Amino acid sequence: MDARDHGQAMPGPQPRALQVAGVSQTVVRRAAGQTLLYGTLGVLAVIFLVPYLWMIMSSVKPAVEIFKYITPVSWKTFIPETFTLDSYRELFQLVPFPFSRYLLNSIFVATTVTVLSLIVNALAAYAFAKLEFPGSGVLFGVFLATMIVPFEVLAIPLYIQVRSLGWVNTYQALIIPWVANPLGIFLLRQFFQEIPRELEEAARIDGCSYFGAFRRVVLPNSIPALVAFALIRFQASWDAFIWPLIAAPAAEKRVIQVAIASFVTEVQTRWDLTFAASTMATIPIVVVFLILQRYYVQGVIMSGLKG
Amino acid sequence: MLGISGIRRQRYQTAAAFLLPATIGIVLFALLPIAQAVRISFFDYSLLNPEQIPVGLQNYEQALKDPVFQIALKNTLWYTTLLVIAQTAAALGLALLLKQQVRGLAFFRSAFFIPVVTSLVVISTVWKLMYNTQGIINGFLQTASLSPQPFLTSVDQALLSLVAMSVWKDVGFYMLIFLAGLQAIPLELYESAAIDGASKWRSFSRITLPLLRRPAVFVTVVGTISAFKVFTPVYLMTDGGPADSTTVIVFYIFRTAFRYFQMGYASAMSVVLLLIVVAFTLIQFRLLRTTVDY
Amino acid sequence: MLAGLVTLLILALVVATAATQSALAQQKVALKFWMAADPQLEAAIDELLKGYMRANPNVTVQRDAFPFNEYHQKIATASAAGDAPDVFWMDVRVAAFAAQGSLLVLEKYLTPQNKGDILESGFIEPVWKGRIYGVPMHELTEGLFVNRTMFEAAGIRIPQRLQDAWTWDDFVNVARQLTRRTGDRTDVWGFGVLRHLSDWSILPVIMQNNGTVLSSDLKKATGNLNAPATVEAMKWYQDLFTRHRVIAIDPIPDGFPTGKIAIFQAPSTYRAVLDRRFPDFKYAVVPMFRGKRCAVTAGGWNVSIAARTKNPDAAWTLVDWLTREKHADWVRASGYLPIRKSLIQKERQFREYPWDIFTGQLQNCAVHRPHTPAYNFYFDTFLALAKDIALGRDVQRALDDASARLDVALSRGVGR
Repeated sequence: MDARDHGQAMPGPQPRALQVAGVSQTVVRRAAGQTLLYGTLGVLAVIFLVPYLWMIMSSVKPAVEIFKYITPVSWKTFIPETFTLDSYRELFQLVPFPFSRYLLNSIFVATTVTVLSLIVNALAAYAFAKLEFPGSGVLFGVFLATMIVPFEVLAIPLYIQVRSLGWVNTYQALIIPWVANPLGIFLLRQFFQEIPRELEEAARIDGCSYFGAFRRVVLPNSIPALVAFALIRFQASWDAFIWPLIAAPAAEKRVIQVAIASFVTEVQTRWDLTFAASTMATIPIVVVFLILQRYYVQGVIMSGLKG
Repeated sequence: MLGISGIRRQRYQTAAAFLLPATIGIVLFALLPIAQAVRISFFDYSLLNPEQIPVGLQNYEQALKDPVFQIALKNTLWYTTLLVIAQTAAALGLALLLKQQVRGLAFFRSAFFIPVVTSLVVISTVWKLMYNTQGIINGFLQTASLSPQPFLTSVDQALLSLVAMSVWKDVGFYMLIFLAGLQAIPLELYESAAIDGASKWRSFSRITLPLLRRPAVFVTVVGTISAFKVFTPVYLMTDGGPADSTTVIVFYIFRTAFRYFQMGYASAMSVVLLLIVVAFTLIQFRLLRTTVDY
Repeated sequence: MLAGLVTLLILALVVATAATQSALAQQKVALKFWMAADPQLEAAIDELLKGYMRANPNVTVQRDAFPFNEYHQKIATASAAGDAPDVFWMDVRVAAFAAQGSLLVLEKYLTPQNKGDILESGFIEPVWKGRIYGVPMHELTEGLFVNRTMFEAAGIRIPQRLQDAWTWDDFVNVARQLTRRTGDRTDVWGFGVLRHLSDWSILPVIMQNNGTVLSSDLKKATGNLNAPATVEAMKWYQDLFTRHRVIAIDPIPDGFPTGKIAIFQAPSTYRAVLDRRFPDFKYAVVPMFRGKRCAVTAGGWNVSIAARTKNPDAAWTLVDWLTREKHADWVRASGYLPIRKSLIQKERQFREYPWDIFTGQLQNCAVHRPHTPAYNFYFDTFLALAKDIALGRDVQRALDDASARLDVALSRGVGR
């Protein structure tokens, strides 16, 4: 759709009656179109954001109130009658570890996975994109094929594998298996392929090794894709539940999703703690994303998937 | 410039070095476990008992005769089809809306994208409460004088409810792909079509759609592979019910392995799942007839 | 001369004992103890473990806890990799683990005194094929909790003695009376269940009608689960959802203390939850309703030892500490019911209201879930069955289908 200005009169002098009639018709039509557009977008935005609003608001309500005003829906469904930070307070008073411990574990694991992932997968993607070698296609195909396998299917053999490496109940078990990521290699390869060959060749002529060209030419031009990839990896690691449950049991290494699951006990579910913990698990990533949005969008746009 | 074997060797060596960490990772943590899972599928192996009894193809025979396995496959195919269609259409629709030079574009784009960066575990937990027959969605429906719905407690609505939630979660990501694709279409094409007197619909179907083929393929293929693997929402929200209407294949495999401790049988079903997904993906590629350089 | 010999013998005995003691004391032992997650219970266990380690300085215990819904899966995966804990909680699933040889037989450690002090009902779930694989830490059973304010407002009497328990008809009438609707929407449900649609909650209904679920050898469901007595009981239960509409198809989060449910079927430990988290809420404990007979499900955590543990004797001392020595402390701290006759007799509170409802039901009405090795499969099948029935499906047909499915799994034998 081409750009249109909003509701301006038609250019050039016109007979007065025609001018008035023509302008008002177009204006009305445009106004109706605009209302419809913004109306639809508004309703959609509400649908997308209401669950978050409910979650955050519930986290600052006392336990008694969270489910009290659900039906019928009123302002009280969202705005707390009694504002309280008790749920958050209790999270930080948990034994044997306060919730912040689990948060830090998740941050540590997710950050390490992301950083290592960036390095390992970018290197591999560069090799596939720029370095022709025999068997490149086959190897790439094999990598991609492993993407099809759902994790739950591999959980036990993977656990036995990790155990044979002596990594049970360690941070390595939570990190290392997730570093190599075929989907990431695929996306980064797409991106690297778009970078003009001439830039690299110029660097190589100046005496750079392949690695130098990689570091000085390809990487700086790929910031958006790298940011996009980093965000996806971080979020995937942050979301992990079944694997951290199996592989790293001890409470000191527990991650946030497993911690939230332990709020369901034999005799009750601590919904107040669940809402507070879920809010804490959600807000940081959303904030980081909002800050890095520009890069992320650019990364997707320039990734060569467009056409 | 090529041809000197020294340069080629250097290139191969560099490639090997660059690929080494990723290859080690994928071999150790994907290929070997897959091989192990395939091996286990030929044994009768309970999680609680280290002794493994070889049983040949018995597990596979059992899978083919198992009515719940068939239900799980059917549910998974149904879920995948619905999800991919709904998600692709919604993503395209949202992209088209946002392409209209909207004021506050960044705000709307962010709103649609936030679920993508939210944990699926958190989303499943919150949506399960929202779908509760006494929950907030029915609350809204009742306030609007509509009748409350059973959602996750209905055999007819449970799977649809999960599809709706998944669309809500991931559409923002696919919308971005389509947005990028739309932005890449040169404006002159539309302008010349307008000069030729083409209607909006015509320029959409003759210009926009064909030029969106590559992103559409990506959205469909990735969406399909991802939909086949669905697990967490079923595990946290419906436990496969009611009446097995949301029992999907990965959930059934997980339950067989981790609740009924039947590792061999679970592995056999996994192998069957793999073969099906590979076949499905290949067929998809064929049908969409892409000329991409994969 | 004889006196001298005897003294010498006694001295020798004393020296030998001291030597053995110090020999044992030299060996440092590390034990792993696992339980299901619950902050209050974990704190209580930690106290007990501190005392244990003080009394046994050569043993260190490392305790860990896992989310309740994933607990058994966690034990199983750890066992599969050879990483099982030494001592851990086990419930009715003892059979599943024992049948695969994962648990240590405990008879040789149980003295007749110890065994005799434990209520008979405590040795149903931890027993498999006649051998004992776990020692109960406590008992757990259910009762009905009622919203006192609602009952007083409606002028309904709150039965506080076992003999005043409601009949099925009484119960339905009360539930109907207290259910409040506005048009399509139900504001107050007469009835709710904490362990919604689980076999734990529904088994009593079946047994109160003299029905059964599985054959006595736990191998067959057909002829039991779909027998007329069970069908009749399940039809009555279905009416609660579809005809009387006193119970919601979806569990309502925190529905009871927020005034959305009038009568709530919950385990005895729910009292502690209400007292701690909803202190302003007025409730009362009422005995479970009764059909042709009274029946309430009973079954608490047992403590088991891994078959492949490296330190069985040390592990036993920990089991004994938790289940016998510190039983009174544990019951006090945890809010569970006592499983030892000595404690019930010693402390008066267990014979007074409201405890006496639970202990009385334990002694007169306790029923137990079928401890089959395929328990998880049975549990899932039952849950699906209950949901089907609650949604209005034909009861006989639903029970027939579930029975057929169960027969296949149960006959396949030992958990496979």
